[in-house]
Amino acid sequence: MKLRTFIARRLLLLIPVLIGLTMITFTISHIIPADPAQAWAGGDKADQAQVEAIEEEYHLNEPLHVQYYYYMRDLLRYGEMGRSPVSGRDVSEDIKEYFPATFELTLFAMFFVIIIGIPTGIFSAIKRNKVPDHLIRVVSLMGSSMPIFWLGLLLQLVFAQWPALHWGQPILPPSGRIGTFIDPPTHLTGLFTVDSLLTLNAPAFTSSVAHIILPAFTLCFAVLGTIMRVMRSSMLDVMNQEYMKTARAKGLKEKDVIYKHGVKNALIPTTTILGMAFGGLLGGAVLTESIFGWPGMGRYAITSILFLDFPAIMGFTLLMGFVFVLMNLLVDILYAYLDPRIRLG
Amino acid sequence: MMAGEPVPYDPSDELEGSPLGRELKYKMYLMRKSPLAIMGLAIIMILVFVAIFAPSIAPYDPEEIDEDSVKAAPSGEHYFGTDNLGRDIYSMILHGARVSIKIGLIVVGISLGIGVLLGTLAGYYGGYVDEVIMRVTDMFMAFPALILAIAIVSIMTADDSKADRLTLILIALAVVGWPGYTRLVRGTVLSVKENTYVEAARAIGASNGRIAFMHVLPNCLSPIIVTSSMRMGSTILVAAGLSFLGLGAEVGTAEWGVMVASGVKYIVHHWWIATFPGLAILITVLGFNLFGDGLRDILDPKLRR
Repeated sequence: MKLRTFIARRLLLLIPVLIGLTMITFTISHIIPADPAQAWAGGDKADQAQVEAIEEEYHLNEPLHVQYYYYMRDLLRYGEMGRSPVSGRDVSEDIKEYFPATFELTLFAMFFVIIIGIPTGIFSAIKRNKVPDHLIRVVSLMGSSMPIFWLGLLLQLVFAQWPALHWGQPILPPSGRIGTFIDPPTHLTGLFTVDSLLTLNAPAFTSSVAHIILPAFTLCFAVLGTIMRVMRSSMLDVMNQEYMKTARAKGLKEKDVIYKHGVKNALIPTTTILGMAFGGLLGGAVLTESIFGWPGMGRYAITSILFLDFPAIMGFTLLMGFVFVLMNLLVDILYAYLDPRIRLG
Repeated sequence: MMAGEPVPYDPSDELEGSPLGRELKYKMYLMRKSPLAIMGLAIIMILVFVAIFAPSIAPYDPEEIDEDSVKAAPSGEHYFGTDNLGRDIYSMILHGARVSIKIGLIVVGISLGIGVLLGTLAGYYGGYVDEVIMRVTDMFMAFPALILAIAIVSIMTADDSKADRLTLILIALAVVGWPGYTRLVRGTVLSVKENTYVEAARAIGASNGRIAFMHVLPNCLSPIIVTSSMRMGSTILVAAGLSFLGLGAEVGTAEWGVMVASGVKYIVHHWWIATFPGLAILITVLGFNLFGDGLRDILDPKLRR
């Protein structure tokens, strides 16, 4: 199979999964017996006419499959996800505002995962069953066992709150995306670090980088342990291969054997796990954002939950599922590109 | 061989006993050689002990409010200090073990049950059964676990029927948990059912159901056990996260996630309120992960190196 055919096939297979996503989110958000119209109109004291107007707007008095039809029609035709009764805007507008912050946070966390997880995994495999290996394995299991909301609190305490208390100056800012007195960079991508870099806005750049370090480092622990372990075991697999013996036998330096022949091949399985890890990061982002006051999708979701904002909860869940599915698709394609056996086999 | 040196174990030394017994003995031997797995097992056993005997070993009643010692620092009187209501944090943590263990056991139990049933059906029968089960599984796996759990809990909390909050987390986590098991069991069943003994069972006229559940399934146990240990850990972690966000256990209960959340406000001057419950979560989850990881090395000969 050519790579192009492979991609086309995977894209086609994406359609039923996406339909499934909308069906699950829709079912979850509509099976409750509670009366959202009543709640949005102001609870028990709600004006009956207003309740009816809301029921009309959201088709709440129609059967479930008809409601689903309306939802899908609006989603596909106008890209609309229903008006949020809290913000008064369409949920898709809210998402456009909050999603870039979460995406930026997740990207930086992924960056930490890669620069920390992959080298330590390799090192651990090279030192197999020696002290550094045992240490790294315990540390990686600790990483997988870490409640990241708690880690975030402690990091905030140690790097921001205590220094601010004792020295009058935090080492890293404890919350927010950018300094209070610094204007956000011109909106290009919505990622503050990228936008400020592109517009050569030095103060905004340093401030946004300083703000993202603690939350991104915290978030990276959601998946770091897994990546370290996968990298170690795939490196061990590779080191047992015949071509590694061949490389040594022909007199290559150990460094070249490990990096040029070993690591390159060991990275392939790790890549697949990175796709799944992305889901862990999206989930962890909800916790991280609520601790670091990061104005992203996670905080949006929590606020929506407090106000019973069902269209928003549904939009959030749908978007997260969609991004997760898309990431896994990208990884699969990357995998097929890296390892021809997948698409040819 | 020098005196005092341990004699290397050779499983063929002990030919008496059933093959299963011998295999078990050999695995116990490997287990003893894995200090990390032993450590994990020790943590789990302590945890179970604490969960069972919490009321007897806790020095204070976890709900006892002592207005005279509010936010007291750790001391001989209160090992981990007291919280903003003057409750003894050490006693609360001991009682919190009950909640976590309960959530872990029930959630893993339910998702395991569903996963084993559906996974065995899909893997053993194949065809349409497989196709339908696996496509539904795919849909559920298309969501990051925590996010699906959040969506389910948040929608169900809105219901006025006053269902127990803890029951809601249990349902949400089970809904999130079963697809992973289904996929795992199906994969294992697919490879196990090709074995000769399955063919032999069929040849002597065993029914499909009997073969699937009496012959194939018992041979798929290793990965299921390993995953279950790891799952206990991750379930406790996610449940604590939900509680931290205010979506889990009732505010004010002795649940670790809730306790961390209640300490957030006071963390700068009274660090112990949030720190100790978090540490309890970390150690507990670590116990299950160490045990599961060690167990995998033991049960999977390919990884035994």
